[in-house]
Amino acid sequence: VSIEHEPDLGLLAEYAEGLLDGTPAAAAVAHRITTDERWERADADLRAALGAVRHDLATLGAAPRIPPGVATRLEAALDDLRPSGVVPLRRRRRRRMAVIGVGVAAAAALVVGFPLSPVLLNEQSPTTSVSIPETIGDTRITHSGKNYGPEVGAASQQSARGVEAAPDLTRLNDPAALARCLEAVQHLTGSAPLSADFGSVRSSPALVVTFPGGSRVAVGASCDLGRPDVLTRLVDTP
Amino acid sequence: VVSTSPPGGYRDDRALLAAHVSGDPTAFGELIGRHRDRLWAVALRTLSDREEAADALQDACISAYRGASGFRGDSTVTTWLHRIVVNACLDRVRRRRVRPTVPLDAVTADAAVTAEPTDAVTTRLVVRAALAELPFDQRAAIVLVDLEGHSVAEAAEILQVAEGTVKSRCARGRARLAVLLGHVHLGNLAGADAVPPTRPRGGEGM
Repeated sequence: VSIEHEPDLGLLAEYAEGLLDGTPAAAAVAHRITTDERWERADADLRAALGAVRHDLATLGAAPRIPPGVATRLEAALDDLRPSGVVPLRRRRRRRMAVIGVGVAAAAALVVGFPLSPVLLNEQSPTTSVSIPETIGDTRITHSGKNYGPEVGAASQQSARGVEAAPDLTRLNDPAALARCLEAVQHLTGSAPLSADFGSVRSSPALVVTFPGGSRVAVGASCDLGRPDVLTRLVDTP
Repeated sequence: VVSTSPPGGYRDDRALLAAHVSGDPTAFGELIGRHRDRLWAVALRTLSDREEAADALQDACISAYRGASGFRGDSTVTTWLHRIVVNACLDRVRRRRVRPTVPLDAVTADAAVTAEPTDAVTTRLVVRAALAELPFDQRAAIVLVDLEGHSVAEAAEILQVAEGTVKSRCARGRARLAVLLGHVHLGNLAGADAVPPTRPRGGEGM
């Protein structure tokens, strides 16, 4: 295998990530690295830099939600495709929102942060429910609508993910999305959740996940593979 | 027509798509409503331009609406939708020669919403700018795998390439980002991915 005399960053990147393993190219790159100081330095620099690149990419944070204006425009475009006489999606959605429940709608409008310190559990009355499977894997799914935070409506400026509007949990009503979320939580904690309850923390929608032993975490609507969106830990009131 | 829940309650993606093909006027909207945030994220992060991303997402949804009967079921519906969105983004890049930009409103929104230190906002700005500098293939692979959390296998299905190709695009893209973000200095480096860095590091003047 013939490779460039000068260090080739692309080739070194594939070598560093093991993509050339077992190929003649790997042997050629390895030879360069051991016999050419520039290749050796470039290889070391790149390996050191890849962690920094991952860190930089992580600063972009969770996926951006679709802006309301773009969503409205998209719905209008889809409405235009419908046969005439069909109720537009936008109107149906408004009607549906009216019956979902005051708790969810009100909580979605709140701008609430979550404290880094654990929230003491203080379960309050149920407010809403939705229809999705009762179990996902070994995890029982419930929809108590309980408020797990003692300070209803209170906002903290100290947040695990920045102060922002807490979205409702509609996204997690999709069993596939919920399954990915639970997998992400399990990956993070190393143990399978016993249950996941659609409720709220400090009046903001949260999926409260309980593990064997009783420990709990609250995750937000963006919870997904690679981004469990952990809002806070929960501890029982003494 | 009054919206009603189907007799069985929850309908999965395939059921919604099948219902749409069968003439259910609300099924497609429900399907898109379920996935639009993730599709938007892919479009925005791939094109780095809000307006272009909105256009691409709309093009993709219309294309999916009209082409739903062609869904063969050999992938998940979400993979199929993501594939259509990525292709719509690629079409825009090719047709309009989109020059990826980092919209000012995104930066302003970050600063306003999170009230984070300026350097954190700045870091995101340069990362977005560096990402926008990557060739489309590398950028799309990194957006799907590193930012959106898809597995390499899923990304390969979306991009309709071999898994090894996705890995290669990610590896080369990350290496190029390492240069663009100033983690690796060009020095004696030559070769395909040599590009000037986007920001200086450690006062070394690059």
